[in-house]
Amino acid sequence: MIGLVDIRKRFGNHEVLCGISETFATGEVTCIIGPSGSGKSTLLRCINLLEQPTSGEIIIEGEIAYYDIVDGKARLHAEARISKVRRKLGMVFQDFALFPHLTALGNVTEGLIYGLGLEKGEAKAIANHMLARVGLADHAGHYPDELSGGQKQRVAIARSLAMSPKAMLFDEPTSALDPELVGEVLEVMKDLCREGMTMIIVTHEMKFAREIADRVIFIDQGAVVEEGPPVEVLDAPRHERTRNFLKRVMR
Amino acid sequence: MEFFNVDVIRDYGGALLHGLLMTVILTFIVITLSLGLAIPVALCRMSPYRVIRAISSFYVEVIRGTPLLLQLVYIYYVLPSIGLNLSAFFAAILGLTLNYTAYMSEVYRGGILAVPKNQWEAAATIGLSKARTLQRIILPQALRIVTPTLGNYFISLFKDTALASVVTVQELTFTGQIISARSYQYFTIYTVTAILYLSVGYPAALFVRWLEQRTQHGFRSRSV
Repeated sequence: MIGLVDIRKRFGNHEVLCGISETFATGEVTCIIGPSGSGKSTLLRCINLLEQPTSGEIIIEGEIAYYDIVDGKARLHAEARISKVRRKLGMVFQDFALFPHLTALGNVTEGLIYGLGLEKGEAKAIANHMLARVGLADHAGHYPDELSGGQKQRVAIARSLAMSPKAMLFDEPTSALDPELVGEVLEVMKDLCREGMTMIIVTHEMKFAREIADRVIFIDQGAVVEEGPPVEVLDAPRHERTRNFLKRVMR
Repeated sequence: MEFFNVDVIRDYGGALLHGLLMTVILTFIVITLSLGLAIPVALCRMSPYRVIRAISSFYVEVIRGTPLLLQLVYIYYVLPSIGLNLSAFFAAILGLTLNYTAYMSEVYRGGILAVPKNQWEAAATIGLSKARTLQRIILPQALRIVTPTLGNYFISLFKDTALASVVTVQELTFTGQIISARSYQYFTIYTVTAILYLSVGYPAALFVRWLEQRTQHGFRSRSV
């Protein structure tokens, strides 16, 4: 459902992604792990064009997304066309990125009303359902600063899910949370997994990755070092770099 | 010799109140226009198109680089020579609005830039266009950020309207000048003039402080 073809990203002279090609099948749950600065977040952000790759192609549901390469240069599609593809990909940020001036309900209805063009009543019904799905039915009227970190992140997940995405991208969704709040967010993600959602998760939670992932990708210095089912990559890594990384994070 | 002459107030109090009314009217017209116009100017300053950026920057820099007094004089006394005749009142409105719009656009621009980048990104991922994001997500947050600063501009505009006297608008200061020159009661007239400014300016300052506290209190902390 998502294909990446030789994705490169350069910031100045520093090459953050050095040619990554991957495919993500429908219903597949992929965890991307790697040291900080390895490029894993940048890769995730390329998938929905929050970062524009320096070169390479992104294919979403069989179609070349976001830009065409003309004479070796990327020519961006029109805003509406980009937006249409983006909506297929839910995104959950490390720092939640909730809209602070809107209630939990408002955060969820925003995209339904102003992105999809639904009626307010219909949007509210969907939003309430989504908030219930992440266990926050009775927090609909709360503003973000009245919610705990875990609750904020669950609202953010509801906000994405409301758009009926084909896949969900998670950028270190639990890294900004107090340890005791991590569990509630991971539970919601496990539910999504059980429902068959396609998920790409950048994470430092190795235990969670082992539990949930169909496939783990280990990235270091902008390149895929090794990938495979968690039992291989996490429990019997073939590469020295993977072993060193796991040794550091497991400690 | 008595300093404070009550009779003068009886004779000229009405004229001074009339001047105060003109001052208040000028303030409200100019603040309303500037608050509205400064937003598009701020957006032009951040436009992806270089020409739009250049024109709006030129405007803001010309205004910021010349005295308000000169701008008013220029509009009232120089523009007629190229066939643009404005009444004193409209010249004052135009000059003050051009001036305050330029300064306030910089305030808005700062406010818009102060909204975290992740707000743009989150809006993009739920299908909002750039324009929608600006309208629904960025501006509401930017407005809360800039409210205290704009409040201070409101207070200083109230006093800056005195400069409209150079283009013969009979607002409070000019009225005071005329009357005191006629009656020679400088002490009384200018004291009353100052009291009249204060009687509006001080409550206005309190109102701005209240607004400031309210927006700070109501400011939902950024979701970081």
